[in-house]
Formats: sequence, C-alpha cells, structure tokens
Amino acid sequence: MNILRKTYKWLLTMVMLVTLGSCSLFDLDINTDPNNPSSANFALLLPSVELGGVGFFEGLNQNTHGFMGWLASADTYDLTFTSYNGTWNGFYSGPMKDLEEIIVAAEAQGNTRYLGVGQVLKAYFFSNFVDMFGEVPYTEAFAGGYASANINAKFDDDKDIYAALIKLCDDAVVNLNKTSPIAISGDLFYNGNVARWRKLAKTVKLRLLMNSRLDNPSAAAQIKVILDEGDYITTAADDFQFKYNRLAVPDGRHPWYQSSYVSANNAFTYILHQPMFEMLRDDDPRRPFYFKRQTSFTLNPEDPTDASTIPCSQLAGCTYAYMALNPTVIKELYTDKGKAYTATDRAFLSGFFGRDRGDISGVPADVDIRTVPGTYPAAGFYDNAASRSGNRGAAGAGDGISPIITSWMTKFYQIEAILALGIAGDARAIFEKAMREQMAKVVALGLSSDPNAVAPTAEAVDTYVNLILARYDDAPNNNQKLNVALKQAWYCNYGNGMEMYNAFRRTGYPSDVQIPVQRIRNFPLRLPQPAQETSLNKSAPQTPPAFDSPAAAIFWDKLKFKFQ
Amino acid sequence: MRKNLLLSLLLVCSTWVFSYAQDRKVTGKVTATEDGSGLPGVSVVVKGSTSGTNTDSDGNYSINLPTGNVSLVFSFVGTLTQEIQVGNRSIVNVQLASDTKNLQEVVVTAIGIQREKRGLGYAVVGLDAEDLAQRSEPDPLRALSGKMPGVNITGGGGAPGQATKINIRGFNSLTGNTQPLFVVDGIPFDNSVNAGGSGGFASNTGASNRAYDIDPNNIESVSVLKGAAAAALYGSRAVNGVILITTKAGSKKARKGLEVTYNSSYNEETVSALPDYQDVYMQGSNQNYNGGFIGNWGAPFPGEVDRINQEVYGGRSRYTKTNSLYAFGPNKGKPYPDGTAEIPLRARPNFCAAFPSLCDEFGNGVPIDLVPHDVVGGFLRKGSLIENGLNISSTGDKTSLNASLSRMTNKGVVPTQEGSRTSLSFGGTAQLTNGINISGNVNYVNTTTSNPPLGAGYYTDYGGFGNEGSIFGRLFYLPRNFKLNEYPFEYPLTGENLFYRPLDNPLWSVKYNRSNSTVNRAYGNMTLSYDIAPWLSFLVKGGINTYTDQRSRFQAKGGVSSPLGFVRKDTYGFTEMDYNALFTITKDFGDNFSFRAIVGGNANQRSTTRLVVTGTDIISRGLNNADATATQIVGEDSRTLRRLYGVYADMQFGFKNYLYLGLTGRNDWSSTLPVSNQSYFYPAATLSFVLSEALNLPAIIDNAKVRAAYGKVGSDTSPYSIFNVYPLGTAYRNYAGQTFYNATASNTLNNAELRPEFKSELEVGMEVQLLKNRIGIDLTWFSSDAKDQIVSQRIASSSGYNNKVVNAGWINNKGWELGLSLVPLRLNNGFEWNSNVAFTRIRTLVKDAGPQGEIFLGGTGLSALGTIHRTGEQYGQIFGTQNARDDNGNLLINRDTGLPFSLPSAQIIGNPNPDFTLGLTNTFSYKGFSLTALIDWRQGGDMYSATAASLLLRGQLANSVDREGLRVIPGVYGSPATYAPVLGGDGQPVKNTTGITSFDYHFSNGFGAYGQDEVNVYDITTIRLRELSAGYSVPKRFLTKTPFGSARMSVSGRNLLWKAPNMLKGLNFDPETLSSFPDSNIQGFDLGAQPTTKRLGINLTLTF
Repeated sequence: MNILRKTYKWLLTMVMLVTLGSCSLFDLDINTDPNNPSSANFALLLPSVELGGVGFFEGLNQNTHGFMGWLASADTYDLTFTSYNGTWNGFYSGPMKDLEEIIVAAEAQGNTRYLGVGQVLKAYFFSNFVDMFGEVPYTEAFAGGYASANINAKFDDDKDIYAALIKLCDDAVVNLNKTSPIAISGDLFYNGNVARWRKLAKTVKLRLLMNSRLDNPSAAAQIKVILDEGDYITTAADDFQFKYNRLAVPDGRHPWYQSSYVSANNAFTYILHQPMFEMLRDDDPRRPFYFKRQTSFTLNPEDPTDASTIPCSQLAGCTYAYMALNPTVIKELYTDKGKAYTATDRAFLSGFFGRDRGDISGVPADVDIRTVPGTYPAAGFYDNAASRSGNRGAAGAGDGISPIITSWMTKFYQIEAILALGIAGDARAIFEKAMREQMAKVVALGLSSDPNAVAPTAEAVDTYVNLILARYDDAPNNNQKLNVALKQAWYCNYGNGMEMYNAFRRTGYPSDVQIPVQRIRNFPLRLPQPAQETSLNKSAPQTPPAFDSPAAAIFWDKLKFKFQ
Repeated sequence: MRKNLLLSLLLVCSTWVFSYAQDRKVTGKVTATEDGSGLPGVSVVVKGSTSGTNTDSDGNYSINLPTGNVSLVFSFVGTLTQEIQVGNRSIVNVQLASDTKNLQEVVVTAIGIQREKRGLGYAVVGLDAEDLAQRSEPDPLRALSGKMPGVNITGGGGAPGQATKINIRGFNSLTGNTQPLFVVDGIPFDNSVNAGGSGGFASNTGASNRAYDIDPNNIESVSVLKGAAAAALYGSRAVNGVILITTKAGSKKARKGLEVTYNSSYNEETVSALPDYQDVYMQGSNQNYNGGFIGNWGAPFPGEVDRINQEVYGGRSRYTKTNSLYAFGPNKGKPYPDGTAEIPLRARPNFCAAFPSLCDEFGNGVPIDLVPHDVVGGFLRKGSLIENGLNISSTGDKTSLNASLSRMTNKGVVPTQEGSRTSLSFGGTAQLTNGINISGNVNYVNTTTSNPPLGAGYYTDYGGFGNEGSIFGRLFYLPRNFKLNEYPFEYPLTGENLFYRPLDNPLWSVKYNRSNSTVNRAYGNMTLSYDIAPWLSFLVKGGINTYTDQRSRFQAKGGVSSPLGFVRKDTYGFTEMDYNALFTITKDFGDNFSFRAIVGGNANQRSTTRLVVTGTDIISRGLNNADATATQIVGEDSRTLRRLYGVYADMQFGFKNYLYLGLTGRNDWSSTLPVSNQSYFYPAATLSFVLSEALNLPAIIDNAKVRAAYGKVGSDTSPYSIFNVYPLGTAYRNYAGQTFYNATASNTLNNAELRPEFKSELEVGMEVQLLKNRIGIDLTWFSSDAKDQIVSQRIASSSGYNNKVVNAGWINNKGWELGLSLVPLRLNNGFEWNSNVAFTRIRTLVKDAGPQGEIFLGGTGLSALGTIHRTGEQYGQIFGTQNARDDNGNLLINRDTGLPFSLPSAQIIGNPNPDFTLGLTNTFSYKGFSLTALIDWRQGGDMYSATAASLLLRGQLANSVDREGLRVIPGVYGSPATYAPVLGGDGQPVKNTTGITSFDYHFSNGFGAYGQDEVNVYDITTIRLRELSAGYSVPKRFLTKTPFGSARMSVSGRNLLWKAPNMLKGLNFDPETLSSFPDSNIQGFDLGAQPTTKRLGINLTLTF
C-alpha cells in the first residue's frame, strides 16, 4: 500500500499544480471586446456622419462632372452594375447608419437639437441619393440590427421618398426651434449653430421642391413661401459646405488636391476642353483659379511619341482637340479678337491640355502635361505660370471646399422659380448677385491657398459679369434666359457635379454642352443600381431598367434627355 | 518503415516499472534482428505473472525471477513477440525481428498517443525524417506536398518564407479558417499569417505562415489526422484536421550512446520560368512608337522594319526607322539617327539638369538604340538556400538528451530578398528513481524575412488598390526596348525615384523600400507521467508556445506610391498555453478481450497583442524609425484573449486481435460563444476489423483490414463575435485645428445567439498488403458535413451593415484517398524500386450558402471579380464578368466596335477546385545509392490569371506578333442594350465582319485585362517534377578509419520541371500560387505576385 500512498501524494501534487497555476484558465467570462467601445455618444457619431457624408458626396462628384462635360470621368457613360457598389454600400453602412442611430436615440431621449440636425442631414443626403439612384430602400433601411431584423429592405418609390424627405425638413425645423439645454458638439459644418441648421432645413426643402417642381403642382406655392420667408441660405456665411484641412497625414486635403498634387503620379482625370476654351474666350476672371497649367511646351505631331500623346490624335470628330495647334480654336481665341497668335500665346495655350468630351483614348504618359484643378475648389495652385503640379507631398494647401449648397445655388433656384414658375422677383439682379457671390468665394479661396494668387481687378469682373448679363438680356424668352442662367450656374457649380446634373435633367440646360465624341451608352438618367445590393437584397427590383433608358428616369425628370 | 517500428513512447511501453524482489536475477540484451542495434523499451514479462520490466535505452534489461522453470515474454510494438524459456541461464540475449505485417506499424494519434495501426478505425498518414530532410525545401509544409493522400498543399509564391496553404479533406468553412491545427511535440503550434495590420496581399505577399518556424530537417516524424473521428480528442480546433509533428528534440526515440549528426546543404535558386516575350514590336500603341507608353503595341523594332516592310507590304515603306524627333535646338524637328530614339527618361522633370551626360546642350535626350532587352531576366538574380544543422543525442540508462542547432538562409531571386531561420532546441527524458517519468523540451527559433515591396501587381492597374510600389506591379510588363537594368533609377542628389513614367521604379524599390519581419519564438513543454498500477497510468502535460513578430515596412521619400515615405512598425505577439491531464487504463480480460481507455481534461488559452504604428513623412533619409517621421498614427493597439477547456474520454475495446471498437467523446467549454451555448459535446465511434487475422485468406494476402469511423467535431468561433461595437476612428482635425474624436457603428452585425458549429464525418477504408508486402493499398472514402457554420455573411448594405455573423451554411466534402505502396522490382543484388502513390479526389459542395443563397468573398478589390460560394456549386467559385452570347453560344459583337460586350451581371466563370491530385514518388536504391523522384499531377481546376491578362494587354507575348492585318472576332452582331443578336433582313443573326486591329483585340474590351474576366480564366492542370533526390551513403567499411559513423551525400532538386498544358501558350506561368494569404478563403486567382522558383543543390550528412 506504500505504492498507493505515494501515488496519491503525487497525483495530488500534480493536480494542484495544474489547477493552482492556472485556475484562471477556467474563467470563460472574457469575451467582451477590449479594443472597441460598446457604445458611442452623439458627439462621437456626428463627425463620422459628416465626414462620411462628404466622402459620399465627393465619391459621385467626379462622375457627375463627367456626365456634365467638365471632367473625363465616366464621360462616355460606360457605367455598369458594379460601378457604384462601393458608393452605395458605404452610404448605407457608413454615415447613414450612424445618422440613423443618432436620430433614433435623439428621438427617444427627446434631444431635439441632435434630432433636428439628424433630420436635416438625412433629408439632404437621401435627396441626393434618390436623385442619383431613383427608387432606393428608405422606410425599411438600417433594420439589420433591430429586434425584428430585416436585411431585405424594400425599395421605396422615389416620389414617396421625396414626400417623406420634405416632411423630414419640416420636422427638423420644428425640432430646431425647440429650446434645448444640450448644445451640439462634433459638428464640422456649422459648429453647432442651430439657426444655420434651421436655414439648411428650409434650403433642403427648397431644393427638393425645385427638383420636383414639374411633378408637383403645389411646388410653386411652397417655394414661394420659403423664398418669401427668407430663412434659408442667402449669404456665404450660411453656406452648407465642407472645408478640408491642410494635413498630409492623415491626408485631409481636398480629394482633387490629393490626386493632382501629392504624388508624382497625377492621378486626376482630364479636365474637358469646352469649359477651358469658353473661359478663355470670355476672359472669365475665374479661369486662373479653376485651371492650373503644367506645361508650356508644344508637342510635335510629327514625333511618334508626341503624336500619340496629343489629345484626340487617334480619334476623329473632336472640336477642341489639341487647342494650341487647332486653327478653329486659335481663330476664335485670337484672330477673331484681333490678336496675333504668337509663340508666347502658343506656349500659353499648350498648357490647356485636357480632352474633348467622350475621348475614349488610352492614357499616355501625360501626367506632367495635363491641366489640373487650380485653387478652386481644391485649394491647389493659382495659374500664374505653367509649372508641374505633382510631387508636392506635404507642401501646398489643399484646404479646399466641397460646395454642397451655397448662397449662389439658392439664387439660381430663385431665378428658376421666377423664370419658370412665375414667382415674382428681379431675376436679372439676382443673377448678377449670384455670379458675384460665387466669384468672391473663388477669389477668396485662391488668395488663401496660394500666395501667388492675384485677385482679378474689379474691372475684369465687371466686364465679365456684363458680358453674361448681356447674353441674358439678349435671350428672347424666359426659357432662353434660364438657359443663360443655368449655363452660368454650370461654371459656378464647378465642384458640385450633382447640382449641374440635376439642373440639366430638370431643364435640359445648359443646352450647348459638347456632344461626346464617342459614347458607350446613352446619357445616364440615373446611376445603375449596384448589383451587390440587388443580388443580396431579396426585396430589390430584379429587372431594373437600364440606367440610360427613359424608364430609368427619376420621377421628377420629365425631359428624359437622350442624345439624338 | 523500420523507424516507424522503432518509434516508441515511454508512456506506452513503460507499463512495467517495478520489479519485486525475487529469487534470482537474469540480465540480457534485446537487439533488433535487422541491424543488431539495442532495442529500448522492450517489455520483458515473466509469463503468467504480473512482474516484468523494460529494456533500457541500450536494450539491456535485468529482471529477478522466481524459482522454477519460467519463460520470459519479450514484446515490442512492431516486432514479433518472443517467448523464451530461461532455464538455468543468467544471461538471456534476444533478437527481435520486425513484424513485416504493416498493420502493426505504430502511428501517432491524438494527444501524442502511439497506437498500433491495426486497432484504428480511421486513416492516418505519416512521414518520416528521411521523407522531408534535405529536399531543397526550407518550408516544412511544402516539403509535405504530394506525399500524403487527402492533403492539398499550395505554395503562395517564390519569396523566401512566403506562406503556404494546406487543406486536409477539403474545406470545412465558408468564411472562417480552413487550416488544420498544428501540434508540435504535443502542444498546439500556431500557424497564423497575421496579415492585417501590416498590409494585405496588395502590399506584401511575402508574409510567412508560422509553421515556417519549424525546420524540416529537425522533424522526426509527421502524422496527419484527417477525419473527425481521428481528431475528436483535439476538440474544436481539429475540425480541419491535425498535423502532428514530432521534432527530434521531442522525440523519445532512444539511440545507443552518443550520436552527433551534422547536415549541410547548398542550393541554387532561380525563377521557375519566364514568359516567352516578343521582341518584334516596341512600346507604343497602334503600331506607333511612344516612349511613354507601357504597352508594346508600337512600331516594329528598327531591326525588324525592313523584314516587315518586305514580307507584309511588298517592299513599301510602311514603317521607318525614325522614332523620335529633336525637340529643341538647331535640329528641332529633325529625326534622331535611324534605329534610335530619344532616351525615354528625358521627359521626366528636371532630367537634363540631373543627368547632363544623358542630354545634349539644348535639352534633347541622348539617342538610345532601339533593341530588345531581357528586362526581367536581367533584373532577377540567382538566389541560394544554405542549411546547416547539428544534432546531438545521448542516451543513458535512465535518461536521454537531444540537442540541436540549425541555421538556414535563403536568398531569393529578387535582389536583396532574404529569409533566415535559426533554431535551437533541447529535449530529454528521464526516469526518476521514484518512478516518475519526466520528459520535455525547449525550443527557440528566430525567423526573419526581408523583402522589397512584393504586393500582387494586379492591384495597381485593375484592383483599385494602391499597392505600395510593388516591383511586380511593373516588372513583367515593361516595354521590351526599355533598358531597365542600366538606366538611372534615382535622382542623384535627392535619391528620389526616377522612371520613364511616374511609377515606382523596381530598382528604386529594391534599393530603398522594405518589408521586414523578425520572429522570435520560444516553445516548450513538460510531461510528467506515473504508473499508478500496472493497468493504470497518469500523465500530465503542459506547454507554452509564444512568439513575437516584429515587422517593419518602410518606403523612402520621393516615390510615387508614397511620396512622403512611411515607416510602419507592427508588433504582433501570440502566446498559447495548453494543458492536458489524463489517465490511461490498459486492461485485458482473458485472452480474447482487451480494453484501453484514456480519460482526461484539457485547458487552453490563447492571447494575442498587436500594435501598429505608422509614421509618415520621413524626416531624415535612410532613418526608418517611426519617431523619425513627421506624423505618427497608432493604427491598431489591440489584444484578444480566448479560452477553451474540455474533458474527454477515448475507449478502445478489442476482441481477439482482429476486432476493435473505439468510442470517444469530448465536451468543450469555449469563451468565444454566448454563455448559454458555451458548452458542447461531440462523440465519435470507430470500428476496425482485421480480416487477415480473423479469416483464412489466400496466401498472397499478407494483411487485410477494413475500417469505418463516424465522428463529429464541434467548433467555436473567434473572440468578440457576440456583441456589437463602435470602433473609434482616427481623430479628425479640421481646418481650424479643432479636434473631432469620432466613432462609427461597426459594419459587421455580431450575433448574441451564436451556436457552436459542427462537422460530422463518415469514413470507411481498407488496408491490404499483398505479395509479401510488394503491394500495399490504403483506400479511404469519406463524406463530411460541416453545418450550422459561423459565417460572416455578406448582407445588403441597406440593412445598415455589410456583414452579419450567423450560423448558416452547409458544406459537404466527399472524397477518395488512395495510398499505394508498390515494390515493382526487388532484385537479389540489392536493387530495389519502390513506388508510392498518393491520390486524392475531393468534391467540396456548398449545399447551403446561407439565406442569401450565396456569399461573395471578393478577393481582387473589384466588386464583381472574386471568390463566391453559391448554394449547389462547388466551394469557392470564380465569379466575374462574362461576354454576352446568343443561345448557340456565339459571342455577340458590337457592330460599332467589333468587340464583344459584357452581360449585365457577373457570373460564375470558373471552378478552381482540382478534379484530383496525384503524387507519385519513385525510389530506386542499390547498395548505398538511391534516387527519388516525386512527380505530382493536378488535374483540372481553373484560375483567373492577371499575369496572362496583363501580358496580353501589354502586347508582350511572343504569340501576339501577328499584328499587321485586321482581326475579326468570330461571333454574331448583338445589341449592347438588349443583349440579343441583331437580326439581318432574313431574320437570321448576322455574322460579325467588323475588322479590328490586334491592339484593339487585346487592349480594349477584347482579350486582355480590359476584356471580360472570363477570357482570362485558364484550366491549370499541371504535371510537375516536384522533387528529385539522388544520394549515396558511403559504406561503413570505408569509414572505419574516419571519425564518422556514417556519411551520405546527395543532390536534390525542387520544382525542376513543370507543364501546365492548358494555360496560355508561351505564358510559362507556374499556376501554383495563392491569390491571398493562406488563412483566407479566396482561391483561383493569380494576381501577379512573385512567381515560383526552382532549386538545385547538394547535401551532406555526417554522423560521428
């Protein structure tokens, strides 16, 4: 029995060693994530909503500039069912999900200010979203994590969503008018200024009514109420815009700045020739703020390498082609104005190196030649001389803006209301104000972002404004006057492609945007709904109309534009 | 075989430790018949009594016998038992002959328990040291390739230490881990890749999986537990099978006295193959030279101009030898000399100022000859693999010690690329005087890799990711006339990158940019065992396995992908503790019934830490420290902790020596599951019937056994999958300097109602030896169902989330495994030809991909190209865009462009799963010579090849030189709006007659990277000479005057030849590549990572 005693002694020792040395090994209550908070307050969520919302805005901005003849981004309409997967997914699971959490919690807590701000933001972003995609999940969205979870949100009719968003704006005004002890923090747009949020609520409503005016018989009356009340964005101080910072790490600069100036590989798309040409022709004082030339060297069409680098060199049907060597362009810009076309002029014009609309050619090694965005809206360089933009790294400004809804945009709404809806007002005077307000912002941003920037003389501005006003005056009827105004809006809204795209689908103006040299599909009446959503969401429409077919048009689009 | 027979655990064999004081003493030595060496651990029992002993490490024993005529029974696993009458002798020496019947071979099974194969109801495969050592392969996983049925191994690529994927019996998870559990010397051994924080496949494919920390030369044996029944005792983590590795230090094999083994190898490493490039046309497009283009669609090389003008254009001067004009100075507008062009770098900013000797005084670049260059071959170098190892083992009466030291350095084929592994280990066993057996070992490994940026090149051009300047983004696609290896690649004063386009020059990347990893790993274990009674023993085993992987990635300032430069420090720590305590009961009931059981418990804890700091904007060139950057951001500072404990029992009932029933069961408690579902139980049952013992079979059958097993394995999930969280973002500072802290609701919806997932598996098999073991057959059929899986399911984002963690899905794996061992020739003069076949055929069917019917995993960065699981299809299909076709399968052609066009939605365009794989090892031996060749054959399976897509797009391949005419794509006209054929006047489809240039054919929506994804999918059937080894063992008689006990020299080669007949002709791309890290479920893509290599080397092994 000696053995047995020894055995037990040993056994006991071993068991004790194991259990004592490792008793915590049996504690399984350790599954709380030590790396991430389990809840977040409004002040933490709101910046995510706003930053994510701006990201969403910029995500569509280049393509809509492409649709509208400004940038060579999607300008042949080669859109597919995968083009916007990321945009769509990011919208719902990113800022709008966080926004939904704010709205739900603020409503439950009776936190009227956050609720009001949340409602305005939701109204704006969803209106933009509907304008782009048409019918989308709205009433049943964000329900994946709810007690009665729904991961197959139904797609709501675009018209119904519009009605709900207008209601949301009204609710926001009510909530923002309530007194609340809780201040708003974490607000990157208005720094918690409730009055400005209220103005935005009314402006968003104005925008919704303006977009849908052809489908809504009562729109005119409602628009009049807002305009008469005047409590909407009317001055630059109220502008709903996002201003970027100058930080290189993490890069918080304007996305166009990031792609044009930071790396040696200028990844920014081409700026199209038409706006460059016209701004040169009209001596538009904004031209050196909008476009930055990189080169003054004229390529030689006889040299094989240069030949295949020159825009449109492998394509027929271009209007502007390589402007520095294009006789038609030279005639209009110089000869017709009684000016000789000198070697200096040619060097100058060589810097306007972009593309004709719909030039489908591949990408030659031209990143040191292409015209890039200037100081507006990206806060890049002022075009006082041709110089290479790329490889600036942490240097330069980049603290540009995303002009989401500005005082001049509301003025263009007002002009449209006067000319198209017969609401009383002096459209011409408002038009002049709109132009001057926009130019003031362009110049101010230019002066703050590049020390070499030079403000245009008052004379130059006056000359230009008068030129445009003369065109307005010459227009024979209200429709044509609206065409002139919206052509000017086309220049003014550089930096906000959605605004141009909506105006165009609503009115068909401006009517003189270059017809694409080539196009793969017809003009997109909305964006293709992404396959990832439609294949995963069982409630999604299974056979959506092609994005360029009339059936795809947004409910308020009565024009259903099509290239003939 | 012989070694297997000798393998022995003290645990099993030390049943007889105590001898009672008796009347007389007999001593003796037990030796092996074959080579006369002493056999340790042989059981010596006095017949008809309970007294007995074991032989010591030299095979000596001493036993006290009662008076009278007694017999001693000598038994040892794997040998024929002998019974000897002692008579009056006081010395009884015995020779034990090995039992040639294979079924008595010993294999290592769960918890390191050794068992006779005859009793096993499931398939186990094993390999020995000589199957793995000195095969020109430093990666232990790749060294297993082709040698074991049911096991599929895929190397990730050719960088030193680059990760390897291993799958046993298919895939058991849709979105989770499919890699088996590694157990080294009885303790789990983490085999993660730990990508994440330091970048994905886009930025660095050179990351290792941590099994790379094992030196294949230090492996004593490998045993693979494949099925659920075999693995049940390992519990949750064995759901993907278990790789059991016994190292030399952990081996309990006792050798007489002192043995010192030294081995040394030197291998040369080269890239396995390069594409057949065309050298007829230069860079440009549409047959025009353009010194700034990437593609090779330009004019013919000047040397080809006359020939093409003559042959194609009847002497007309379609092409000239003029390719550049002077841009400045008096010659402005005049051509450069015939056959030359301006150096393409001139167009780069400030080039002439920085390189006055490469420009003339007016700013024109110097003329350079337009001739083809071996761009890739001139860039890659000859690598090397050097291995040295020293192993010392010493065995005394009651103790044995083993120490080893090894060092491997591997220089890769990319300049500056290097990996190394240094390991030290020390292990031993001792039988203490109080009867306790103690054994253990400690190991230390230092593994390093250092690579220039190796990201899969696909991401640069098509995937929408920046790939941090990967050299493989460009190297294979550069213009043939571009003299990469001689042109300057940096600006002299600033050290900034210089290339003909604003892209990172591969040479610049190699010089300045790196991705380093240093792993320090320590692991060890200790086992105490004690025999409580002859039928009962107790064992407790504990071990720790811990490592820190210090990674650092940096890129110099002045590049294109990262203009400011960055330094990323990523420190990953992993620690695992594992304890087992178990009782073993061995009891026979009469002559007919045997019983053995293991009852035990297991506790396991795993913890990780990770700290990732990225410093951007390097202040001082060459100083690659995070604190020497302008801004530092802590990207991740995280830790995880998970625990699991379980109790288990494993019983085996034997009837006579031919029928065995095994029953196992285990209950686990895991911290990662919701409290209510933390505990889960799973059983297994096995049956083995040895026909050859039970029945009178014909004489040609040496052995025959049939077996069946059914088992279930439960599994938990990763930690923190239960509750939803709000990850914090990087603090945002606005234009005015105000700071905004922020958080966002997680995009993954966690699940508080998760249940454990279960896999059940049925396997049946048979083992037969025929014709005096000339033929051995081991055949297994299995079918497993992994259900109720915990998957991160992609859901529609309108739900507010991108992913939802759910219990869903059902995967069925069915397959056949065949192991054949043949001796086709065995001559009296000693010549022998051995042949081993490992055949695997597995069908992994996704029976249910969850409520959405499919799970898209992506994997390429594009939202419509990637891996998809779809209900009813095989696992992990290739999903991508497809050209529109009519009902008869004709391509629809856009009349305007002459090109095909895409269908409105992506489709399944390929099945990456092989039909079967077969490894054939032939060994020829004659006296001291031996020759071994492993040929493996992978039949079927598709792959999307970005390498092929890019080479086609860029006009690089020799098969694209026919460019002078127009091409018409076979097909009928169709409408891109309706996807229907456009009918002619006769109501019939109209044949396409629109001619297009070869450039358009490959460059636009046709047949290259910009075409629909389906055109770049290839069948990757491959036949490969994976291993070749020819060796000579110096006969002992030649060594008697030397200090050496034995000496062996060999020549070995790896991946020397391969053929993928169905891939694009002239591509010469080795399809053995991974499109992501091995812990991902993405498969079927070559995204342009480092191609494979081949090695040829010499090896030397000496023992003292």
